[in-house]
Amino acid sequence: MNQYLTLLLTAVTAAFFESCVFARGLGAGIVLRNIENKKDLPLSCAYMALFSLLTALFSWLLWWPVSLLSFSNYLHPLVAVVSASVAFGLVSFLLWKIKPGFYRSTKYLLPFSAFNSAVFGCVFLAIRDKMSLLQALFAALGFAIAFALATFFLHEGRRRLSMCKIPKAFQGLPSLLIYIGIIAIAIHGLAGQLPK
Amino acid sequence: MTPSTRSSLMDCLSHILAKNPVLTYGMLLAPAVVASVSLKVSAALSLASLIILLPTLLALYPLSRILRSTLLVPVAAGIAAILYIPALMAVNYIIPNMVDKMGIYLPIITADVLLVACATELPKKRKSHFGWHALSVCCVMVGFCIVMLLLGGFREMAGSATLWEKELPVGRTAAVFLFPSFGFIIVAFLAVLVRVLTPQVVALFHRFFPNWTAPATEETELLPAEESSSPEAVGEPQPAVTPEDVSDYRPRKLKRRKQKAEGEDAQ
Repeated sequence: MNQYLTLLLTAVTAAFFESCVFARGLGAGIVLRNIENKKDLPLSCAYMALFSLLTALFSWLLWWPVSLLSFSNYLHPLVAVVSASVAFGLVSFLLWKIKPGFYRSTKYLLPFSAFNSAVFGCVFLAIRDKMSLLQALFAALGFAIAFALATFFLHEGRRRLSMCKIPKAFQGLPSLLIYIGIIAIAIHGLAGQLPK
Repeated sequence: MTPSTRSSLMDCLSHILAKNPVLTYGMLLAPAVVASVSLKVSAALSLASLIILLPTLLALYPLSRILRSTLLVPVAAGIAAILYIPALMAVNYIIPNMVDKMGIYLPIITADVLLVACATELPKKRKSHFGWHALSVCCVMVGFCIVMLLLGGFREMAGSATLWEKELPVGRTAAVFLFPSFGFIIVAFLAVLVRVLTPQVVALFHRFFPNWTAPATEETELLPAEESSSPEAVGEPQPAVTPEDVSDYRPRKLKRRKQKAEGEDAQ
């Protein structure tokens, strides 16, 4: 029971209190890119979740033998890149085999969803905190939820900001960054109230 | 020097200020916002990013002629991951005890949207020359390093009353400047400052070099691509493709919507 609660807490913390985008800045660039196209938002979030889970799984399996090496500290990115590449290749191949039309129409989303700082950050945190496989997968799930929430918040925020009269110099990225900063302060306040 | 060469040169140089990767496109945002809490950390991150990203982005040019974009992204990330090893060694040697302070933001450079955008779009642009590509990449990296050093210096002074870990005679400090949330806000204000300063810099440049063409400023960038007077539109040779050229995040729809609303107001 205690183990399940720990896993649930890992996912909830990663999703809401230590949001990858707002608290750590991971994947902020890719969210800013994704919110340009409204129709791609659900699919990019789904791809992101899939790649987070697969990369977390493959990197955990790969890190297990690599961690025995004396110079393993130098190999964190290589483990993440190999894992993400395997996940990218696997998903691309399966989509191409099963739904070729869908693959052709959405393949431009795949590289950005597989190789981004949110997916890699999840891997590096799992390695740094020496998470178990289940913990790593739940953390990846939490990251994916946080990414989806951030995408929704920023898309909605941008829509609402477009209705306001904003000084010219603040239009676009600066106003959006201030908006992210304010949400990040709110999340920081919320997480700061948690008992340690 | 021909006018088209001047224009291309100015376009490349504009990546330092007007088309800065962090302040204009939100690339490499995670290290800039979260990790740049002191000048030393920023310097270490800048050094590491130079060692990792500069050769990788340069290597993408010949590789884009051989590989498809789907293969190019994993290959680019792989090159960056291999270059992480000398980068970590160099940082450890030049600025010791910084690796722990950078945390996961040092290896995260190997998977930034800058690299992926460049790898996905470069194969589509066949006309560019390696020289322009190299110059653009150098300017992008210089722009990133300047932003990192400015952010690190300012946040360290305001948040810790130190600079390069040396105490400053500052009465008060505000630790909030070291939080990631304030990192976003500081980057936003820096972006605004750049937008305000860019026309001044351009005007100053034209005062000393009246014959040179203007770089793409914020004003021209806000226009849709088909309406802009780009070198491509006027039939001139294009400068090298840069990652920023291919992923313009600025809200064009927003601008059109506002223009429409203003038109209705005027009526």
